[in-house]
Amino acid sequence: MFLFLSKKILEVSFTLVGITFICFLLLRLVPGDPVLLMIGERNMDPVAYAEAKQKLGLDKPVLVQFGKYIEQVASGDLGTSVTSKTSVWTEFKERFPATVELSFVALLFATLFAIPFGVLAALKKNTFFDYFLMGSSLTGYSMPIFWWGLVLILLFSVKLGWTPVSGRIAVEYDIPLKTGFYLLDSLQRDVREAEGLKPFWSAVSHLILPSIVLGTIPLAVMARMTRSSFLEVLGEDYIRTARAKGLSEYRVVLIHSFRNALIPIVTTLALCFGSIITGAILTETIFSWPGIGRWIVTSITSRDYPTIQGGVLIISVIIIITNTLVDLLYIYLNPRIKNALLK
Amino acid sequence: MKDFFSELLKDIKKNKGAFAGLLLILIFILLAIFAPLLSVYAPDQVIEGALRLPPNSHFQNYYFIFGTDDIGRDLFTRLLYGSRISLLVGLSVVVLAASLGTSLGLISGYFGGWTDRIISRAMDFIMALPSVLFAIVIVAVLGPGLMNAIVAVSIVALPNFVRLIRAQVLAEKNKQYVQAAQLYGASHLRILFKEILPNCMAPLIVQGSLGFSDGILNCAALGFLGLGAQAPTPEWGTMLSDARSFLESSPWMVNLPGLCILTVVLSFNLLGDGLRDALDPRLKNRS
Repeated sequence: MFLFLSKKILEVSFTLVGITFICFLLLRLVPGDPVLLMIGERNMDPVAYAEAKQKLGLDKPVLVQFGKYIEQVASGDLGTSVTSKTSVWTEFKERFPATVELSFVALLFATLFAIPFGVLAALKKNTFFDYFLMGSSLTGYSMPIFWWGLVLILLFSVKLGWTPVSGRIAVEYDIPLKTGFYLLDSLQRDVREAEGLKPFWSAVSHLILPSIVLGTIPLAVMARMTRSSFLEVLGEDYIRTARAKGLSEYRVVLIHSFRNALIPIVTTLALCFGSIITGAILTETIFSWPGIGRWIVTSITSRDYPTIQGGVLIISVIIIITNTLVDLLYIYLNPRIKNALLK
Repeated sequence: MKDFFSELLKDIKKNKGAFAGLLLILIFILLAIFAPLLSVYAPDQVIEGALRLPPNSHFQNYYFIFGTDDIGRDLFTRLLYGSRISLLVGLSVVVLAASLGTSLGLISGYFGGWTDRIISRAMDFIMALPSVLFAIVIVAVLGPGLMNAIVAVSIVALPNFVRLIRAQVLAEKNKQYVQAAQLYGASHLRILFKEILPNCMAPLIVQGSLGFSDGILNCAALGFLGLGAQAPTPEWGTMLSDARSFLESSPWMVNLPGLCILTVVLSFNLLGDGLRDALDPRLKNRS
């Protein structure tokens, strides 16, 4: 177990250094002078230019520069945005809760629908119902979500007027941010005393469409996974034994099958995290959601390279760490692997 | 090989979904090839005054079955030519990623050791980043444009092929036919491409079909973000993005390209699923 963990940690650190190197190279590979890119100015006088170059360490050899970059990143300095002149870390911190809130609700939506759909499809295997559910799931999986978002806006916001088009909360509510999660912040005591539950419902209504859009692909993936995982478990000997004992179908499905079918489902759920970030980039662009996805896209269009560099680094670190935790969770959930490692 | 494909075709015919997917793909291919014959307009031809006409409209002597866009171009024509771009994008991504990925996977699995470790770690880096984010990073370096988007999306698709082939090679390389070839004095190149590769075809075909849909979808997403094909190229994702501001007044400008993307991607996924069912011996025996 110890050997496995140390191997895992070594592997992760290797990947982290690699990603840092890619991000470091990013600014140097972009066409144009890195000094001007980092300062964000077009025409500098030569003296200021030389000063800036020295200050940024760009006059040193590349490996020394990389060493310095690692040192800088390790001390929490991810660079300064060219457009807003604030630190990339501060910008990230402001936007991250928005993405987390959206992703959480989206995954919740996906799980709540995917598991029942998958179980039902498995139980009614090869019926019209199964074909319908799996057909819809494949359609969901093939959906260009940037179009799906626009279709939902057209239907529910423009035609029916049920949901707001963009943003996180109606502009009339100016709630003090403590956690950065509007669903929680709108429930603070002073907000509730002043406005009642209206800000909370406003935040909920703003979340509905973006989370459906962001949750669509994970929903499709998980429904398919749940179905195949259930089909596999339902074919096992112990399920036949359970049925032979005369247990009710309800007991067979919920007690005997569910736990065992859950392992691959949990892993799929966790692995959806990476695709959630991809989805967030598109979803946040459609709904003007002020999260990290939109932040990256706007920094690309405004050629704000320090922000892209820092932003990509933070996002990849988060994903690498999450994926490692998922691997460990998988081992914890699957006693066969756990026992093999403990030996 | 001929038997393999006729057998495969028989399996696909039995699977309704896969068959529908294959038919739709064939239709799109025909539309793409015969685009100039099917439309009287050019994709960037502007008909003055014919701004944002809804589908099935007449204007002077012109007829627009799918309507026109915001500067008066025939939408049907643009979608037709768009199918050329999307299919070519899918094909380029699959060819690039599959050829490079297959070679890397063969080398990595066959030689093992340091070569394997370096290639596998490099693939881990690519897999560590979410696909669109990684593609965005590459496009940020190379600059926006269709070609760069294709390169970016192919790099993102690379690990799927490398891992698949590597795993396959590991399973094959200790089999007797490989040892026989080695004893016979065959070169590494010959063993890799003539002996081992033909036995990796089944998963490669499945991955190729799924890679097609991923490639089309990712390139369209980059187009939508303004990082892929640039206007006036009639690329579906770019067309959709350009039409966003007319969502309320002229929804067909958004919905038709969206439907096209969905249909093509869905067709390749249906086919890919069917191929997997037909080619995966485990699934085949079960049914």
